Amino acid sequence: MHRSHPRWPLLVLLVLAAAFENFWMWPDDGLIFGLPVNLAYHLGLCVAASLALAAIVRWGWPHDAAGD
Amino acid sequence: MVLPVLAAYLALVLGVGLFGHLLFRGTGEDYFLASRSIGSFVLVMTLFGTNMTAFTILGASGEAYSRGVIVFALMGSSTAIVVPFLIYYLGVRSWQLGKRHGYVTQVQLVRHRYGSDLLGVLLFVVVVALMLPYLLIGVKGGGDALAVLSGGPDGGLPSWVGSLAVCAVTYVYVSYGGMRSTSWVNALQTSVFLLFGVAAYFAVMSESGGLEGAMEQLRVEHAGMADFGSDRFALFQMGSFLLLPLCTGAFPHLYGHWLSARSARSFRLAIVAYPLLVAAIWFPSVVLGAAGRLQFDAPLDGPILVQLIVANTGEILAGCLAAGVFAAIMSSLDSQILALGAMFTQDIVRHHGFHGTLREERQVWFGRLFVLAFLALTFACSLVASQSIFALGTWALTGFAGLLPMFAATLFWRRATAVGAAASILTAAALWAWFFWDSLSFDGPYSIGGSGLMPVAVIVPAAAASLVVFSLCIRTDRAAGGW
Repeated sequence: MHRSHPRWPLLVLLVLAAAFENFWMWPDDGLIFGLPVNLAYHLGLCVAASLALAAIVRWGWPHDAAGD
Repeated sequence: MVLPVLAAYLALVLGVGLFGHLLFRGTGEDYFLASRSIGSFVLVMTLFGTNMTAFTILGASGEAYSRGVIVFALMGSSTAIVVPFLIYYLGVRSWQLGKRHGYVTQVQLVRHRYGSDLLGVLLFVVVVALMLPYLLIGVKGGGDALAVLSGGPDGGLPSWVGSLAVCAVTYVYVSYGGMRSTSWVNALQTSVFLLFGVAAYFAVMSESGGLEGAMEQLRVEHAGMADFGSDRFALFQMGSFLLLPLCTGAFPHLYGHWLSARSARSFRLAIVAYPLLVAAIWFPSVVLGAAGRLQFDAPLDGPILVQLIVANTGEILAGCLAAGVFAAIMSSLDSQILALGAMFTQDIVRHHGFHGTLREERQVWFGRLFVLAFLALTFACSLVASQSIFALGTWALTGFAGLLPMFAATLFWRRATAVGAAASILTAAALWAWFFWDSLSFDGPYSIGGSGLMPVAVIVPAAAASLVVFSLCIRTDRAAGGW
């Protein structure tokens, strides 16, 4: 296996994928801030993904691409 | 007024595309990859714009009209999570290897890695076959949109006029300026459809009683539109749709954009911004589609988003919003046909016809010729295609997702072999064909046995398993060993 990337970003991906399956709140059709709660949750997930990726780009950049 | 505004927008697109030609250096690498010179901002806009198609703008809102806000999770947030990681892993590594070895296409990467011409031909055939329905999404979407905007079935333009306009404009700037024009136009078009998407959202929602009022009314009057459901069907479907964005890692047009980056650092902005851009375009698209149920009853005469725009905005704004729809369509179509032109020129004509010795200017002319041929073929197919945009898109995405294990192994797994790669491609292709055939006798949205499990959830693991088993069990003369 070519090891240019650190391993921890893969863990971040798995956490985000697990968070994507928010089945415990799927039947809830209530509103929050005027939005269906599930829609609001997934909007929040997009923001969380962006923040996690910013951390990955900052601290988990592939070592052999650092100078490119 | 809609048509003049749209015509003015298309003229602007042509102007930007033709301006890109001023920097053209006359080489194949410049035509297909802009001499690997694209910086961070244009890269993020073109990667995003290329990946957002009529499938996103028209298909998602149409699906939300039928199924509700769950569509945002199915295709929006799943894309926001998966695609940036594909850019992080596959994009950066592809760029490094492309620069080191001078690749222009995926087939060159695979052929070189495994030392197999036959594998290159197999991949070429499968990718071209999968691209046709994906191209159809754009051409057909343009035709459908213009037909509704010009007056619908009662006196409006026939849908082939819009399809032809999309093909003609795209052909001119792609043919003339190659990747540089494509990237610049994509940056413009992505800005346009983001801006006009937000404008459409506010214009339509203000007519629907605001977001909170519309969502409350939707919840009360249309049960199930504001929640995600609770059955096993929803569970399987959500899991399946998380795998569908894997297709992005196998798109030939995305690969071309990856290689066009100026440096590895150019990818950083794209990786971080991608989830936010997805939310910015999918949110209004899905909310408008779902809220459309408050104004229209099925069946519709055309895309719900276009119908909402026509019904709720003035003609000038409707024209601007129509331009946004066309921007989303053309920003994908241009990259797709450029990638196909590159593959035909580099992988068939240059490699097999001229044994790698085709002159630079002739590479450019062959590229232009194949771009024209593919657009003509797609336009002809759009005249007879009948499936909905969303259904066409899902099948094309499913096929490309099945190629992802092979590409990932090619880049990262040293023990992958040509036999394993071929087995993976054939497994994906065979399962895709079987499921597609099975879907023809299925009424409504297809899932395996009606369970909610999408074919992608079987195809991707099966392709990965084939790759591993055949790579480890069948030894070939040419040893595996990576780069």
